[in-house]
Amino acid sequence: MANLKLNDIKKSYGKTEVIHGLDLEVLDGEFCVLVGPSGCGKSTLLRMIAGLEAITEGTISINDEKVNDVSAAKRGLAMVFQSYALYPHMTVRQNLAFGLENLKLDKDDIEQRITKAANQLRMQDYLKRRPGQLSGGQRQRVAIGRAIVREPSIYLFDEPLSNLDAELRVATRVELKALHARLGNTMIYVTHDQVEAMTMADKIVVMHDGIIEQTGSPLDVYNKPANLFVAGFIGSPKMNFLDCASLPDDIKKLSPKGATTFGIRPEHLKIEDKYSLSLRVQTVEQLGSDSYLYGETIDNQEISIKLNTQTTIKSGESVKVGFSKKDTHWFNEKGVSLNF
Amino acid sequence: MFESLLNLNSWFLFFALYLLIGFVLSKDVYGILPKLMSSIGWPIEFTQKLFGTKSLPYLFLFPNILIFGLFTFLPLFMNFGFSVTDGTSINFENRAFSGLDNLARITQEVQIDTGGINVENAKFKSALYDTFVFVILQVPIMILIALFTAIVLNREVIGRGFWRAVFFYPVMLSPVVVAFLWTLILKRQGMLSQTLMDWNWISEPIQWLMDPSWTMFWSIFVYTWAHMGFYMLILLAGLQSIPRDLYEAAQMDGTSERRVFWRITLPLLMPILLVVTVLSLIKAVQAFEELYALQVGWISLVSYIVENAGIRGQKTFFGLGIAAMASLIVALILIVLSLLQFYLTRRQVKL
Amino acid sequence: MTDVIKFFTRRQGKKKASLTDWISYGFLFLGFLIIFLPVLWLVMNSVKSQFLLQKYDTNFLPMDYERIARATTYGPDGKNILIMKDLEPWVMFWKNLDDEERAEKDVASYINNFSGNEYYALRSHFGLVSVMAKDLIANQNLPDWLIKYPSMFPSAKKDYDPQSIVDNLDQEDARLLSEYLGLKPYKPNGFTAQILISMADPQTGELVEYSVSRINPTKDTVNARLVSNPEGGIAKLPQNEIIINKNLKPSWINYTDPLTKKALGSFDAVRCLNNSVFVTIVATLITLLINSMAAFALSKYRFNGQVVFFVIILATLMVPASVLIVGIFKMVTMTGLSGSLWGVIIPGAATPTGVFMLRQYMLTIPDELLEAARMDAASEWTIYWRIIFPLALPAIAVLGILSIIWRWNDLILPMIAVSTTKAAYTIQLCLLDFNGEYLAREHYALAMTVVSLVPTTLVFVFLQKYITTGIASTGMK
Repeated sequence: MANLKLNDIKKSYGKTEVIHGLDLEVLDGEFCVLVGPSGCGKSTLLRMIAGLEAITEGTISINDEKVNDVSAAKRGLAMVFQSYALYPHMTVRQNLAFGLENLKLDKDDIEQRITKAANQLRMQDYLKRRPGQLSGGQRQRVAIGRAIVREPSIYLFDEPLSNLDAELRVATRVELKALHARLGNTMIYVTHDQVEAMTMADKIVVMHDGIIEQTGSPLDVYNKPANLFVAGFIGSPKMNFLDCASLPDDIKKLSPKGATTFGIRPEHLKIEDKYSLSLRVQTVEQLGSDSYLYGETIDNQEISIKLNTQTTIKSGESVKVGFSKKDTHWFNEKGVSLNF
Repeated sequence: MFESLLNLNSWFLFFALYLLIGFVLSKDVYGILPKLMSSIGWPIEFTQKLFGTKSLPYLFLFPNILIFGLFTFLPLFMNFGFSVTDGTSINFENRAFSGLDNLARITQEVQIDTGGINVENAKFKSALYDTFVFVILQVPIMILIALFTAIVLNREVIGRGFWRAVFFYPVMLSPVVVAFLWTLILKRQGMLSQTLMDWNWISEPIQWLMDPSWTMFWSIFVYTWAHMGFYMLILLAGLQSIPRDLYEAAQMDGTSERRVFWRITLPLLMPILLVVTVLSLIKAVQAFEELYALQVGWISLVSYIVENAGIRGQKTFFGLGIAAMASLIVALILIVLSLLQFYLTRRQVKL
Repeated sequence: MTDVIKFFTRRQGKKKASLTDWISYGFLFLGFLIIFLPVLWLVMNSVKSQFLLQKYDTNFLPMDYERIARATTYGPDGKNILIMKDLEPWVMFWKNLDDEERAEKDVASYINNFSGNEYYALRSHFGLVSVMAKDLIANQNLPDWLIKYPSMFPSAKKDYDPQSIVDNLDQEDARLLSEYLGLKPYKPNGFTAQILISMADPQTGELVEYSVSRINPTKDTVNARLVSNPEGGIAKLPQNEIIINKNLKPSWINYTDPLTKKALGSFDAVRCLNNSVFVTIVATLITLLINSMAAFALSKYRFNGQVVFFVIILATLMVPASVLIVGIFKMVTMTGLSGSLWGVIIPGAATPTGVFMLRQYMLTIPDELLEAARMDAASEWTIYWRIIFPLALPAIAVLGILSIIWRWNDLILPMIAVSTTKAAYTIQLCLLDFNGEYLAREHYALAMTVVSLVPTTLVFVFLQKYITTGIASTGMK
């Protein structure tokens, strides 16, 4: 098994630096999710770990061995690509065997590994088909199978679920998690979808503009966002941010010193007459189990509320909202959380 | 069967040795194709193992660049060399430097070696003049016919694929076949003379290909016959790439068919039409194979080069130098035309 | 029938074809005629017999006439015209045979089947007069100067009196020697192949056979001699009443002779075809290999000088082989490829068109596939031939087909590289040479020309789609 250490990693294309000195440690057997909006450098980081991109500065080590100059093939990693990158002219079996043949494994070993992976991923039925004849989900499995047969020390996933429809995505998510539990390998998973990150990760790494904003367990990141970006990025619907200066006095007095932004998650807001924070409801979405209210405060700042019941409130009404003090988040002018 | 192959030269030996080394190195590769391919690619595999991937693109390019270097760029330099030296030999040590004498030999009225009238000058000038006439007449005629054919084929005609194939077919024929085909018809006792005589249109057979008043006409005719399909195809592809909705919009506006042609089709086709024109200019300047095999009554520039180079016959003392000098002049014309074409197509070629 | 017409005249959304449609179809049909008639004419001529070709036959189909021979002999009884029927074709065309073919025939015993004027005519026709006369001179110990006598100047002939020698010989020998020496009343005998026609006798209605040298379809009459009485002078027969005994007789020997015999003089069609097949296949394989390698480098790597290399390759389009003839000849000689088929194959193996076309196609192959392969521990060479090459097959097929056509039809490179080595001639060079050398063998040349266009035509008919897309997408030939 393997652990991975990144030390002050930088990456530049020409004169533009896209990764600005990252440090990260992924422990053996950990499921680590790199999450961030598109363009934050998470895919580049993954490709640098894989050995597909050169590192401009810093060191990458696997099992405490520096691998900066080790080629992709020799790092002992396997990667599942966003587009799956299955070889269209080869059958599923050939796709699985290709990497093993390149490693010059003997025929019986190759056969054995393919059978094992096929059983694990239930793809015995289409080993003779080509990728073009498979459904999206089946392709996904072949892509994972291609990684499994390599028996790598670390699995890398580059947004592997983004090409699947919503239902299949949920199912595959669960399957992947189960796979991780069964194999116990280190896995590094890149996604822009925070739901995937929250549900699958042992460790979430939130990235933004080439730096790591926060690292921690999913609940840590949710409960204690380190800054405005993480607070806004993790959680759906987005956390509400209100300017401290515009808050009613009874809320303002809760704020710690130096706070400029007040944050509260929609699911933590209740319809109750506790504070003098009122909301003019503009849109109501009824989901059956939940309801979402979208509205504006008196000074036109947007607020959304998630209620886990059905509601009779109509758009145009004004309601008072309340919350408990432990759910509040405060940020200073640099956007850094003041909660701790 | 292939006696000339048994003429083992060093190239062949090198190549065999190369494959042999590859074969030995790929001893742990199984299967015929993998073995063959690793026998061919062993230097690339080897370099990657030893030095990484940095230099691999150069290795992948090497065979192509080597051949281009040896058989396109070096010949160009050789041509320079020949053009400023005299002698029958192709070895430079046996050739005397003569500066621009060869240029004088084909462009000056007075023969610089004998002081007499320069026959070569007249020959070269007439080759230049005839080729010019040929190009000036052939290109517009062919482009017009090709354009017309493409427009007709772009209509909703029945059996479009068939007609397109018919018009394209001559492009597939070799110049020699094209020449024989038409010689059969145009020679002195050929089909055309016979038929016209049978109809009492002419009283005695005409050598259409040699007769000074007919040779240019038939050269242009045969050359156009052989090459028109190629340009027709490009123009047709260009016409088909014009979005249909433009025509539909024009139809909705009640635009007349003639107006549609002048205001929509032609302007949108213009870039391709230009490219095709320059391309056919380039080809027409090089016209040689068909004309040579047809034995027409005039000499094109490239025929002039071939004849003087003495590749098929006796080499003359000044021949090689004159041929090289003439080919430099033709190359210059072609380069100018090619640059023009490159300028016109530069948008298609993403660098 | 009307349905057929309706099918061809129907138009989308319109009831009847417009004038423009008629013009379009008229143009297309005219184009069809101009393009296909000459080709068809070539094919038809290629199965016409040597006899028909020499008669400048203008029939479309190889309608061969019944042939007879008209001979003219000169003897003591003056000029005799005789008609000989049922002669074998090789007898008719003896003059066109080469030495080898002549040697195969036992002429001496053949003419013994004839007698009288027919014998004399054939003896002259086969060129036996001088051979037999020389034998006679040797056998009978006649003076040696007799042998030289026919080629002497008239002034020199005055010194000799051959007539006295001839007078001492028996009748047959005297005739032979006189014919050889050209003594009066003997003149060289004539022999020509003619067409046999027949016409009903105006009075009796009986069919009478005539011999004709040429039939001009537009003239009202033909000049004919009676077969039964050739010396009866020339009759002008009305064209519309004569019966020409013509039948469809394709002359397959035009094809079988060059393809089965070892050689026709220096023209070895089989060897030429073999050379062309070899060049075409090997050159295409090499072209595909090295051009796809270069295209791979240019499309899938970033490296210093990438643009420079690309421009260099495209720049070679500007200076085609035809203007570099002298330089290429020098280089081919310098590299030791002159006179070898490799000299035809290698200089043309790298094509800018091919590199450009393949590169454009390879740009569309996703880079992720290469990265996946790199993760799969594939070397770059493995990536090239196991991933890129198979995925670029559609473009490679197009280039392959174009290359086959280029190579098969190429004239310039063979001219530069193997002009001096007959053994390495490709089919195009062979045809060019053969046509220049043997006008009397036109029938063979025509047949071999047709053979030479079979491969490209087959490729065209079956793989047309690839060719047209290839050309339309690159705009290059």
